[in-house]
Amino acid sequence: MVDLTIRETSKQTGPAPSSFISPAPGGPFAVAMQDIRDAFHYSPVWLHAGWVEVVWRFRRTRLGPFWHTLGLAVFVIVMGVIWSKVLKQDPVSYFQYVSTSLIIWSLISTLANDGTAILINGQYTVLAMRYPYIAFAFAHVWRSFLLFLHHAVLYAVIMVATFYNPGGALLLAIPGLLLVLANGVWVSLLFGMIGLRRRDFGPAVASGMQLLLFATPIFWQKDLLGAQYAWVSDYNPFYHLLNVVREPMLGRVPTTESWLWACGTLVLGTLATLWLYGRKRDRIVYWY
Amino acid sequence: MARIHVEHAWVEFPVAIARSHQSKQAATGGMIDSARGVVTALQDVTFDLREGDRLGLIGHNGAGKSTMLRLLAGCYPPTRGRIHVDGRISTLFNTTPGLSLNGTGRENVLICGLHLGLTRAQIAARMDEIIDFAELGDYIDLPVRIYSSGMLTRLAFAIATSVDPEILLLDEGLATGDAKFAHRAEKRMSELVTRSSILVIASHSEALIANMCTRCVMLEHGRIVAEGSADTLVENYRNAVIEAARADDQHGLRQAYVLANDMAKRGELPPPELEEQGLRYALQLQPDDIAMWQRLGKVITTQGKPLPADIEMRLLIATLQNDPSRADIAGRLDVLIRESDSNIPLKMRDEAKALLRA
Repeated sequence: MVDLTIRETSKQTGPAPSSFISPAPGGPFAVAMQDIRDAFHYSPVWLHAGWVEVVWRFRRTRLGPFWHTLGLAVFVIVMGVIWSKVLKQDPVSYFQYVSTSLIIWSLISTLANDGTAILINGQYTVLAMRYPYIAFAFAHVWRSFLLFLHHAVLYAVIMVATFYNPGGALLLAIPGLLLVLANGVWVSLLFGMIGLRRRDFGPAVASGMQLLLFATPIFWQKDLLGAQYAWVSDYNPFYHLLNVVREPMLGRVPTTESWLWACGTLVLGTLATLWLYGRKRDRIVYWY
Repeated sequence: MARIHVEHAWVEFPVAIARSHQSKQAATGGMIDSARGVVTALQDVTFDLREGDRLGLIGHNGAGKSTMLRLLAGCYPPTRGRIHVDGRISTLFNTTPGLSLNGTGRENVLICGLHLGLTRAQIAARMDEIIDFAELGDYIDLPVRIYSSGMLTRLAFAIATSVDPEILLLDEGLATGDAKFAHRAEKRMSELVTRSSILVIASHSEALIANMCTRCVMLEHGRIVAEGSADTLVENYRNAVIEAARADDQHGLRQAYVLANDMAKRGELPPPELEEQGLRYALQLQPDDIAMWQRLGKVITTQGKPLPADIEMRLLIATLQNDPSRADIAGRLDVLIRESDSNIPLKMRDEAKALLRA
């Protein structure tokens, strides 16, 4: 009998959380953890939403999401030819370096740039139901990852065309990519909150990421800075995030320093963001 | 066990208002507190709803009905106080969760259904029924962007009513298109209402509230001003409006006009007391509409009340102008002029004299 009652209630509850107290009780981290649990309940929603947004954004185009890939390919070829001359680099290896860097950078910059609008775009949902805002960040990271996979086709084509085999080190790209995506969760949630509160933040981040594209070793190798200016890259978290994916994709093992930086930003960023989120969770809707 | 418990809940929106902009209280909307920079949309709301409760929210536009529904849905966390909700919620507001204009109707059914807590299998099973109900036909595979607003409303309505919630929150203000659909929507809504264990509905129509609800709350400027059983509250509210209108209170007159109009739109005959006050308001706007004056005279006499001299004179003048041969009316007009009631404006008296001389 008892068993039957339990089954009955669990069937009734369904996937969505069915009880809440508002304002959310507990400290900032308790509030944030509760929303993370709710966001997992809603995983069918954001997994579908992230995927379908990729489809919708490119509806009525012939190439679909591969437009980005094509644009990137043209960019990479032009840059590869010109900059390998300017920087006096071996054209083939420079070509591999730039294309891999840009593919990963487009993931990182999408996470940051579009992250500023995730809460603004969620307005209709948030005003119709109690929804964990963290789920918007999950959807965004998932969507960015799907776009990244489209770009990864370009990587595969280039590596095959240049007869380059990155070898076993390539496997390290998986934990590296996971680190980037995990960092993307807190970055997009934090940026999404700031972007909702201060609408100037979106354009500001776009300009900042533009600057970082040139300030981070993407078109040029880090050694070109020389020992005196190496700190510009050493203290750039984006450089290390880039590295933990790029190095394996180019057949090298990332430095311990880069792993530590990537893990460090993940831990510190996540803690700070969850603390802020937990404190402001019940205020967010009033910012719309 | 579904339950909604609201304890001293406030909803205050932050706004930036220049202090110089302070003016008198607006006719609708929440209280503006420029000093603190907030608009109080809901003020110190407390109530408790349990299984089987059907609560109606009434009040004019901007009284806080929609905000109250969003508070109960968990969209607006109370800025003070607390709210505790147990039970799966489905809402029918002017926004549908997850709705995207870029997707086709079918895709939106899926994504909105997922938001409302349905599984993919459940959505697939209900898909045809939803499409049928929304009367979209082949439009279902076209992007929602090109839908007419009626189509969009029908789709949103069909999706929102396809779930089996424990708690149903409805904003009746949403127009549901043409009369035929409105009728089917009403039927589907009442089916849904019987399946859910708590209902909260916001409406302008007290008759609908009286039909559907067991309890009723009246909001004004974000405050609960009256609370009680649905039919008596509506009755009391109507009487209060009539009372205020009789005392020539502008807000009361307008409210009487709105109430009478609402009833007329639903095909109900407003009680003569209400219609009288509603007509008085309408006549402020259209003072030369003689048909309306005639109706007012009729409504007053059916109540067995004496017709005020000024109204009577106005009607007599109109009739006499129409048909100068009526000696009986001319006689009565003559009597009225002699009685020299102080209510009669001089201008009208002169008009009557001129008419008699002619």
